[in-house]
Amino acid sequence: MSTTQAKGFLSPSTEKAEESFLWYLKEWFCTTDAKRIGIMYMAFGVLMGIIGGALSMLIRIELMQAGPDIMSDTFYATLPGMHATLMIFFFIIPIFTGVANFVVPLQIGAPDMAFPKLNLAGFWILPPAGFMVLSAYLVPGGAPGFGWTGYPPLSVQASMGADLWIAGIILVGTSSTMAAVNFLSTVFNMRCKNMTLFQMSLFTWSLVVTSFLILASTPVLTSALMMLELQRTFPAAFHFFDPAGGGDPILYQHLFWFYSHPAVYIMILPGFGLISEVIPTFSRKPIFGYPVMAWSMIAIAVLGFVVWAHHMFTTGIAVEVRMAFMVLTMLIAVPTGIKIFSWLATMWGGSLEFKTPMLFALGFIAMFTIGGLSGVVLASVPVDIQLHDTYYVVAHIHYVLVAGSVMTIWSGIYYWYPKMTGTMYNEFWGKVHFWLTTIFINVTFFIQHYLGLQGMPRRYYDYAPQFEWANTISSVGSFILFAAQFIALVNLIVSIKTGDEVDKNVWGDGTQLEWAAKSPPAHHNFEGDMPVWEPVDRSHGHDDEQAQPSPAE
Amino acid sequence: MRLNTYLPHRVRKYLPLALTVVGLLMIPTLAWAIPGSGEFVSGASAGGEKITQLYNTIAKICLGILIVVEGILLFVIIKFRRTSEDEQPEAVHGNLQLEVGWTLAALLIQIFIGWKSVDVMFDVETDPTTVKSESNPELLVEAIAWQWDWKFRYPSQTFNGEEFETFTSDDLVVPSNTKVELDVTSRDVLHSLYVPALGVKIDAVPGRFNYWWFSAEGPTALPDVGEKATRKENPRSQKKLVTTRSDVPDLMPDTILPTESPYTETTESGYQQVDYLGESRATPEQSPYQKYNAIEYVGMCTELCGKGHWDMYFRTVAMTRSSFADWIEDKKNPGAVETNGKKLYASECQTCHGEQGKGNPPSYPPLRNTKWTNDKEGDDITVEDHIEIVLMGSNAESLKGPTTVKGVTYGGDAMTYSGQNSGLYDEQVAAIVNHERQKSWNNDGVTVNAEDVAKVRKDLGFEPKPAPKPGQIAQDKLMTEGEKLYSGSCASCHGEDGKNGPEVPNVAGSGAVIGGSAKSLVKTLVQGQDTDAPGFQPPVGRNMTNRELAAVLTYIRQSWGNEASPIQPGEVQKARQQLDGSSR
Repeated sequence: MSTTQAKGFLSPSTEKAEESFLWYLKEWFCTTDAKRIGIMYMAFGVLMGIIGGALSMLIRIELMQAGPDIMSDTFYATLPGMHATLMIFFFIIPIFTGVANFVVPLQIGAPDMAFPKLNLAGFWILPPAGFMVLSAYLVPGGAPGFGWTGYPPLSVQASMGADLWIAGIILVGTSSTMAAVNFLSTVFNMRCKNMTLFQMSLFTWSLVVTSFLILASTPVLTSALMMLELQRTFPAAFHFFDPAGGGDPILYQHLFWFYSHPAVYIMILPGFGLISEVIPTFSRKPIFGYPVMAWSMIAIAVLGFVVWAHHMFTTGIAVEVRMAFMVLTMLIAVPTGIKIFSWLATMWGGSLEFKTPMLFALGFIAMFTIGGLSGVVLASVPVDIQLHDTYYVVAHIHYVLVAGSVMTIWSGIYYWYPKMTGTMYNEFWGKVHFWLTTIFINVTFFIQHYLGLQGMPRRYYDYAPQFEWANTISSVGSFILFAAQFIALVNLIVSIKTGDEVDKNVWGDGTQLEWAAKSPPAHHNFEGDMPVWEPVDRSHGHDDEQAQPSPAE
Repeated sequence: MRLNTYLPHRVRKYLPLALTVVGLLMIPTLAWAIPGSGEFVSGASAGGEKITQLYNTIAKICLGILIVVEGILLFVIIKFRRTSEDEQPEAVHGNLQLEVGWTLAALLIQIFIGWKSVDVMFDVETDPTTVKSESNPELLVEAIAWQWDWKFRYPSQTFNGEEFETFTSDDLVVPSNTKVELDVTSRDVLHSLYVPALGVKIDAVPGRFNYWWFSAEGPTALPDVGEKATRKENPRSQKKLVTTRSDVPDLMPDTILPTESPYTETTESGYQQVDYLGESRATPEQSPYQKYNAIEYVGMCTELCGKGHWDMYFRTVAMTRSSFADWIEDKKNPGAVETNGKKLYASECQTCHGEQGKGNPPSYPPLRNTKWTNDKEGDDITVEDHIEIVLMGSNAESLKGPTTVKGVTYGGDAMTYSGQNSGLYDEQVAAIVNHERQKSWNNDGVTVNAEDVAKVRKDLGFEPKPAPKPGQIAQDKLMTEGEKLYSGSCASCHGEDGKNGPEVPNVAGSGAVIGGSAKSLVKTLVQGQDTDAPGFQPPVGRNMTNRELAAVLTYIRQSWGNEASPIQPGEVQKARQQLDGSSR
C-alpha cells in the first residue's frame, strides 16, 4: 500500500506546469489527488457562496425600505429560493466535502481516498449543476420563484427555469452520493494500523455519520424531484401532486422534508466534528467525553430521520401525528445539548489560546446556542403554528447555518489553511474578520426574531411600514457581514505568497495524524512508511477517585 | 514558535474589553426574548392567549439556558486563557457523573416543555364541541384562496336563530366571542391563512378543506358598558378590555387595553382598524366596518404562492352579534351588486380559463372560438346551455361525459365551479356569459340578460335570484317579520290587537307611534321609558338587530288602523348611532 501507483495528476505540480498555464490548469482539473480535489471543492463553494451572498444582498436592498424599490415582485420571488439553493447545495455542502477530502485521508493515515477517479467525477458534476441552476435566470420566464422547497402546485405551474433547477438539484444529489460512498469506503477500509473506529478523530466520525445520512436520504429527494419533473412534462399522464387527478400536493412535502431535514444535519454535523478538533488543540486538552460525542452525532442522525413533519405542522396533518413529531424533535435537543456542554467541559481547566480558528469556534458555541434554543421554541407545535413561515424561522435557520455551519467552515479553513498551503495566514486580519462576522451576524439576524414574533411573514416583497426600522437594521448589518467575508478571501489568497512558512505541527498542540505530515503534505500524504496510530487511552481514570463503575455505562 | 507569540499580549489585553462590548451590544437584543414584553402578538383569542403563555414559558426556560451557557463560556474564556506558554493542563477525558447529569437535565427540561406543549395543543385545537343553542351559536365560514387574494364564503346556515342564504365577502367578518369554524381551501396553489392576533394559521391546500376554529375577542354586550365592550380576566390578573368606545377606560379603571399589532391603529373614536393591506387592497382613512361595533385584525398569506404572495392581506373583523346580523343584512342588500363582466370573470373564472379565455390545456379548456361560446349552425350547444354551465358546472347536461375542445379531450366532470353554489345573482351570471361570448375572443357576441338567466334557473328547478335593489326591504317582508316579533315580545302587555288598556298604553291609534320620529321610537325600545302611565316600558329592543327593530316598528305603525310610513333598517341604524353619541 505504501507504493500506491496512480495515474492522473497528483500534487505537487510538475515542471511542465510552471512553463504553461494551460498545463497548470490541466494538472489541477484532471487531478485525482484528494487534497487538490478538496481545494477545488472549496474554491467552487466559495465562488457559489459569493453569488448566493450577492442574491441575499439584493433581497436586503429591496427590504431595506418599505415599498417597492429596485425590482419587480416577479424577480424578487426568485431570490429567496435561489439564494437558499446556492447556499445549501452549492456552498455549505460542497465546502464541507472539500475540507473533508483534504483532511479525512490524512486523519486516518491513508494516502488518498479509496476511489480517486470517482472523487474527481463527483466534483466535476457540481459546476455544470451550478451552471444549470444559475442559467434559469437566462431562459424565458426566468428563474423559478417557488423557494428552495419547490412545493407543487406552484412548482408545476412554473416556467422552464424550474426544469433547469430540478435537473441541477438532482445532479448535486448524485455528486454528494458519490462523495459519500467514497468517504465510507475510505474510512472503513483504509485506516492505518491501530486506528480503530473509536480511535478516529471526531471530524472523521462526523463525515462517516454524514455520509450515511446522504446515502439514506438523497434517493428520496431525487424521487420527489423526478415525480415533480414527470408531472411538469407530462401533465396529462402523471398526477402525483394534482388533486384533480387523485394526487396530493402534501405528498411532495413529505418526500422533500424526508431529505431536507437530514440535510440540515448534513450541513451541521461536519461543523460539530470540526469544532471538536479545534477546541482541544487550542485548549491543550483532549476532547471531553469522546465516546458520548461520537454517539451523540449518531443519535442526532438517527433522530434526524424521524422528525421531518415538523416542517409541516400547518398543513393540516392530524394532531396526534404532530404530537409524535414534536416529541421526537425535542429529543434532538438532548444530544445537541450534550455536545455543547462537552465542548465547554473540554475548555474547563484548559489553557486557551485565542487564535482565529479558536475564536470562530467560540463564536460558534455562543451563537449556535441561540439557534438551538430558538429551535426548541419552534419545536413546540402551538408556538410553531404561530411562527411558521415568519421571520422567526428565517432568524432560526440563519443562526443555525450562518452562526453554525459558516462559522465552523471558517474555523476549519483557518485551522487547516497552514496545512493546505504551507504558509500562515495573517492573524490580525483573521481576527478583524472574526469580530466583524460575529457582531454583524447578530445585527443582521437577531432582530429578525422580533419581526417574526410581530407577525411579518417571510419571502415577502414588501411589508407594513411599521417594520421598516427593524428591516433597515437587518439590511445594514447584512451589507457589512457580506463585505467582511472578502477580508478573509484576500487574507487567505495573499498569504499563500506572503505568509510565513510553517512547520508540521503548526499549532504546536495538534494531536491528530494530519499534524504528523508535512505542510503541505507530500504526494501521498505521508513520506516513507505509512503512519501508525498510537492509541489514546480515554478511560475516565484521570479525574475521579470517586467514580465507581456504574451500571449506567 | 514565532507564530504563537504573534500579537498575544495585545489580544489578551483587549479581549475582555471586546467581549464586554459585544455583551453590551447584545443586551437590548436579549430583551426581546424576555417573556411578557408583549412581542408575541397572538393574544386576541382564547387559543392565542394560551399559545402566548406557552411561548412565554418556553422563552423563559430557553433564556435561562442561554444565560447559563454564555455565562460558562465567558467564565471559561476569562479564567482559563493561556497566561504562559509552558502551561500543560491535566488531560481529562470525561466525567461520567457530569455527563449523565446534563443528559438527564436536558431530557427533563425537554419532557417538561413537551408536556406543556401537548397540553396547550390539545386545548387549542380540539373542537370545544358544545350543544349548539341560541345562546351558544357557532358560525361556519369557508376561506378560499387563489393567486392572489382571498374570498370568504358564508354557506347557507342558521346562525343565532336567523337563517341566511349563501353569500361571499372579501373580508373575514365574524361575531366576536363566538366559536367560528374556518374551513380553508385553495383554488390553485398552496396558500396559508394567517391571522397573527388570533393565533390562526392553517394551509390552504387545493383539493381539501383544512379545518381550524377560533373565538375572536371583540366588543359584545356587557351590562355596565352597554353594547360596546367586553371584559375578561387576563392571566396576569389584569383586566383586559376590548372596546370600541374611547371613554370606557375612564368608566372602568384598573383595565388595560389590548396591545396593538403592527398592522392596526386606533382611531380617535376608539375604533381599532387595520391600516395596512398591501398594494391591491386600499385602506381608506375610515374603515368600511366602522359603522359596526367591531374590532379589526389583519390577516395574510404565509405560504409562498408566486409573485403576489406578499399582497394577500385581508381584514378580520370581530363584531357584536347584533352588528353581525346587521352586516348580513347589509350583505343581502348591498348598495350595488357587482355587474361588471370583466371583474366577475376575473374573480370567478379566470383562475382556470385564463384572463384571455385561452384556458390551460390539458386541464382547463379554452373559451375562445368554441362551440360552447358560439351559436353556430350545426352545433348542439345553445346559449342556454352556456348559462347552465356557468350555473351548474359539471352537473350541466351538456358537460356530461368527456368533452373535446380543439382536439384536446377534457373530463367534463372536472369543472367543480358552480355559479349557483357561489351565490351569483341573475344579473351577474348574465354579465359573465356576455363577457365570455365577446367578439374579441372570436365568439359570436350574443348577449343575454337577467331574464334569460332566471328562465334557465326555473327550468333547472331553482328560484330566480334577481339582484336586490339597494337599500330597501320590501314592506310586506317587514310586516310578516314584525308580526312575529310583536306577538313574541310585545303582545303579552300591549295585546295582540294593540289594545290592552287601561294599565298599558294602547299601541293602536297612539300618537307616539303614528307621529313619533324613528329616533324617538327606537329610543323607547332600546333604552326603555318611564311613561305617564303606571309601570315602565322595558328596553325590549336592546338585543334586537336593526332589521328586527325596523320590522316591529313598521308593523305597529301599519296595523290596527295605524297608517304611518314604514321604517327601514337604515333609519334604525342612524337613530341608534345618534343615541350612542348623545348618551356619552
